[in-house]
Amino acid sequence: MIGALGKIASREIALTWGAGGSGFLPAAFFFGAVMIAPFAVGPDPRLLGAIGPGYLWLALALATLVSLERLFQADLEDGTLDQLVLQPVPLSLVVLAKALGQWLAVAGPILLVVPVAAVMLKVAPAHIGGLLAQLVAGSLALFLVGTIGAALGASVRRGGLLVALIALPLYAPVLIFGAGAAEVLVKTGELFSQPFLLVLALALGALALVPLAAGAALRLHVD
Amino acid sequence: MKASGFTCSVSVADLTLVRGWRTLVAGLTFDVAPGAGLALRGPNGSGKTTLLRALAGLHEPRAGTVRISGGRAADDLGQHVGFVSHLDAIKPGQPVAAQLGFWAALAGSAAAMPETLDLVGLRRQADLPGGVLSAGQRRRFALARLLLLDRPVWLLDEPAAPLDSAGRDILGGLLDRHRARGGIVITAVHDRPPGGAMDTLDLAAVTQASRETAP
Repeated sequence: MIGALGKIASREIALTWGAGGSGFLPAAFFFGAVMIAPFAVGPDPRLLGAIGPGYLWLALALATLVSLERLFQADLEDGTLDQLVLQPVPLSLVVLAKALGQWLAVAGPILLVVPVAAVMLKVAPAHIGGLLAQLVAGSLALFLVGTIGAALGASVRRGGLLVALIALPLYAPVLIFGAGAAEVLVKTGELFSQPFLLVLALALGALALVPLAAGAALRLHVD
Repeated sequence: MKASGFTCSVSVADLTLVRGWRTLVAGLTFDVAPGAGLALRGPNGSGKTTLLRALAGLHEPRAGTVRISGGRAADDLGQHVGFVSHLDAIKPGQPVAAQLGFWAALAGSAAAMPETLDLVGLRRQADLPGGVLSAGQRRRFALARLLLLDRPVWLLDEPAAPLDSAGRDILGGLLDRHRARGGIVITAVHDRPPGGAMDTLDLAAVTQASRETAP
């Protein structure tokens, strides 16, 4: 069972990074979103430094939406989902494996770009490591929560916007606590502050509940 | 590939299938014994695909039951069936061998890969990306997955449609071999079913009969 999950997750990574995949797009989007920040709010280093950590969370949330549309839609359209349903693995675990594979394939490159993006936004170098750790946990929570939107919108053609509309309100708690954790980190240097613990709790809760919800939603599309 | 025989049989009782507001099939009852084949006939839209999906557990019937005995309960239907639908579940960017390898690894039959590629005639295409396969080659890919999954009940949705004559001969041979092992073949067809003779179920006639007996 665990072996099957590993195979599904690694297939997801291979498909995202293989020919015709779009593995680097969300990371490029993330970088682009950070790059235009000084144009929008002005190049004042103090202002950038003040909004920088929160802006990274915002850019991360938007970048995760880029890849969510195709998470289940491609498999639904080409019949792969039918074949996966016929495997002796519960659909909720298939969902979990796909979401985790997608997270590794897409969030990995985004997180690699984060240190550079943080420097561009004048985040103090001492806090970049802590901020990165918070964004790792936050990206997992965002990806899993977004998986619900991806599952619900899977059968809608050009459903990317719909997926984003479903996912964005669900992102609110993660963003509120994530940006709060980043603020505490920058002001006091405390990494495991209360907001960050709540982000971790959200990630763990999503890990347990999202597969069930998204699996049930996919069942409806397969019928 | 396991050489052991299969002993599953399929029994369908009082099955009613509905798509939207339309009743496709009402009160359908039939049994298929090990080693038997059943050809589903009927015009386009008569419910052949929906019936196959219901047999695979992919479609929830409005009423009635599908049971695969010698196997587990109804909600485990999927684990006993291999399904070749009109969608071949092929990714355009990944090589054929890698994609088949994934399904083989899930089924634990990776060792049978080379032999299977030879059987369906895809050996030379093994390293090509899925996107360049022709319609017939895509169907051969789906047949290779069917063989690698090695399930007792084969559900085929017009499997011969895109195949050339050599491909149809291969398909016929595969179905005969599967039935000789005690496997079951249920296939939607429009012309002669591939392989040896099999029983026919005409869905149009079933629907007609159910409409006449309805109050």
